[in-house]
Amino acid sequence: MTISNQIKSLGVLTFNDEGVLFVGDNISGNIFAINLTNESKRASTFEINVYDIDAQIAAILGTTQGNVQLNDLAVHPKSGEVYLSVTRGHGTAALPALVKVDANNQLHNIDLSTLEITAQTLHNLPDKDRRVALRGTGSAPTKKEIAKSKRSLRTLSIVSMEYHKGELFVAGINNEEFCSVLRRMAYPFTGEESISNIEMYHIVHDKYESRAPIRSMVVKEIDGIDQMVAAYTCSPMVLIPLSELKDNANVKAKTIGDMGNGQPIDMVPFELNGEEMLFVTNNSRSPLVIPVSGLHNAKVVTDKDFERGAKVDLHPLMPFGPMGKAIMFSGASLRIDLLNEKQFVSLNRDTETGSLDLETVFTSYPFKMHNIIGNWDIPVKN
Amino acid sequence: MIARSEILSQTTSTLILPKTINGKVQLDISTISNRNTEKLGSDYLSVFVKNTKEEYVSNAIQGRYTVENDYLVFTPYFPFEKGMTYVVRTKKSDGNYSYQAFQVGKKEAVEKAKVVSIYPLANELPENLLRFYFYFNTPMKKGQALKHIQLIDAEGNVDNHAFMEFKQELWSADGQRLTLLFDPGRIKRGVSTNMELGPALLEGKRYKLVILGTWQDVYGQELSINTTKEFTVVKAYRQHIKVDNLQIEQPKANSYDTLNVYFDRIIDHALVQSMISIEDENKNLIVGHWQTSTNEKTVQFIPENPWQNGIYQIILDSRFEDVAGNNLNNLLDQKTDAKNSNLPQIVRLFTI
Repeated sequence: MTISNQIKSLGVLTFNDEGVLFVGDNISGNIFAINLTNESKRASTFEINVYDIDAQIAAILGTTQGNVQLNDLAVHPKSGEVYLSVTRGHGTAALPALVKVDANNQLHNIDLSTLEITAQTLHNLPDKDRRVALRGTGSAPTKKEIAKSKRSLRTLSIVSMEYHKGELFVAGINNEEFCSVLRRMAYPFTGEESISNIEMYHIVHDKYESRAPIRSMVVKEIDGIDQMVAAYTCSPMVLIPLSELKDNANVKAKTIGDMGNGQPIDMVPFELNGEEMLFVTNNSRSPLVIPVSGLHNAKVVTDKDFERGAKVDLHPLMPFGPMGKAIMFSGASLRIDLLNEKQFVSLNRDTETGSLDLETVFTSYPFKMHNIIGNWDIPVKN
Repeated sequence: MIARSEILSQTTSTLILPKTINGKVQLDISTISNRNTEKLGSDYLSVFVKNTKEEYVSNAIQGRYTVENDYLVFTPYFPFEKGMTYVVRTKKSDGNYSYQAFQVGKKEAVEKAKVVSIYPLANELPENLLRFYFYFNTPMKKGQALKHIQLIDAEGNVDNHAFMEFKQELWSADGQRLTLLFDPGRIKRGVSTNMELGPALLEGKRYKLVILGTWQDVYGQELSINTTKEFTVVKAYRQHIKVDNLQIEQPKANSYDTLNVYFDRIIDHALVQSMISIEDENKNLIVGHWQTSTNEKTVQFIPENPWQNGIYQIILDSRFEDVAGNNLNNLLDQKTDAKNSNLPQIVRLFTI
């Protein structure tokens, strides 16, 4: 008996190594584990380049481009095929869809009713009528700032997920005053979860904060222990030893760096010339390539280490700590994952046409030539 | 008996388009011998979102393909959207494709599937009643009638053998009227089914006729509620319809008065449309509408034009029937050596 009809929305995606897809559903307040372990191992590497992917997904779902929102993507660990979580329609008429882009760049709506799915219900989620605060940068709030303030805090229940050694870690907020939490649960699901509150020192704000959720995270062995490497909005980078994540624990994360400003989107581990790296995308700045080696023995900072007051992007201290290097990238990456050993697949907003494209780029040079006209694009006259 | 026009229309419908957002697209594949869904699939039937720039966008809408009876049925994974234009592509017998656009649920909400009426309307019916007529507001899924219609006695027993089982049900061309016959073997005395099971209806008893809400129309909408007709069974009609002293209420000249013809019993309302007519003295057919009255014992004619002075004749075809299937010449249930008249029609005159 499938439980697919309990799925109300499909948001954050992550796979485990066997091919179980974990999906965050903020509306129903569940994590669903979808068994996609039957996919076969890829025969050879392939690229995925699907242009105007929102229009193409709209076509197979029987609707128009404006009725489709792409929420996240994840690459299947065996087949290398790309799964996209989609919202079809708006408001109360919205329906969830899971779409696969196969090795031949063909789109498939996945019939969830035919799959084995298990669920873990999350506890103490934000009340649906609690809203984001209204704030703006101009003299009066803009339409978009007002729209943001109407957003339910429930939509921040599940912001990022990471699977590690039989456990799923879920970052988001709960219904408490200090609401930034990391949930930890065994997979296969048991219904049990532990919820830890996370506090961290925010260098840019010069404040200890415990409300904003972690935006993206991965588990890495740092200084000999498994630690969560986590990135926050505006934009501290912290380490959290997994051993501290116990139920009801108030955990003080270790701040080791800050990118400057902006909101991180994804953090993808990859190898470059034999070195472990993190590729961290951001909604307001170029992606960063951060060597994992720099996170070892990193100095943990507190308010004692800085003069008082806010320090934004242009402050001489920023970026602070072992934050690697900003790198050229094709357009703006909305969501990204590792496609194979040498390539990322990224949902890109084209900076020239505004189109939404699913593109493959090399990890060493994450760029597509259609984005620029340079010297070599102008043929030499005969 | 099915009119020839009904048979023709049943075999010519090829594509059923959805009316509601949760509808399906259905293609008649009765002429295709290989019914393998996978082979037929999207090649025979594809639905696209109509694109303003091109005829349609290249990727077909995805969904499930099934074969149901003689139809290849496409059910999209997601509902259709109101007001949006879709294009159906079907494969013709010559291998070429043909295209047809459609929209669902344009502006007003689509009416829910429901039973409009059940004839006879009367709640006192003769023991040898021959048939019921069921009228729906939408074409219904065929081959489902006996699964969804129940005759239940006062003790709550369902009679599963009351009605005649035909391979092909008797539907009107628009798929909105079903004619359901009682098994004549239950009606005719001395026939084996009648002797084994007895008559389906017994004089003096009360019955319920229930149409189950699970019955779907061709678009997949359920009736959703059970419809019940309760009735009491009265004495069987064992005599010929009396036409010797037919009572006629004559209309006035220059009026649109209804002409009433009174009978001694409940008349089959469907046959009234075709088995009775009026002609003037020059044999011109008088145009108008025939119906049965509320008690179904009076046959009424409403003229399209005002009545003129003159001599008229009412012509009753001998196949005109009461609700027990007795026509003007024969009784449905009679002795094999019965002597019957053999008149093609009966004519009665009236003067205005």
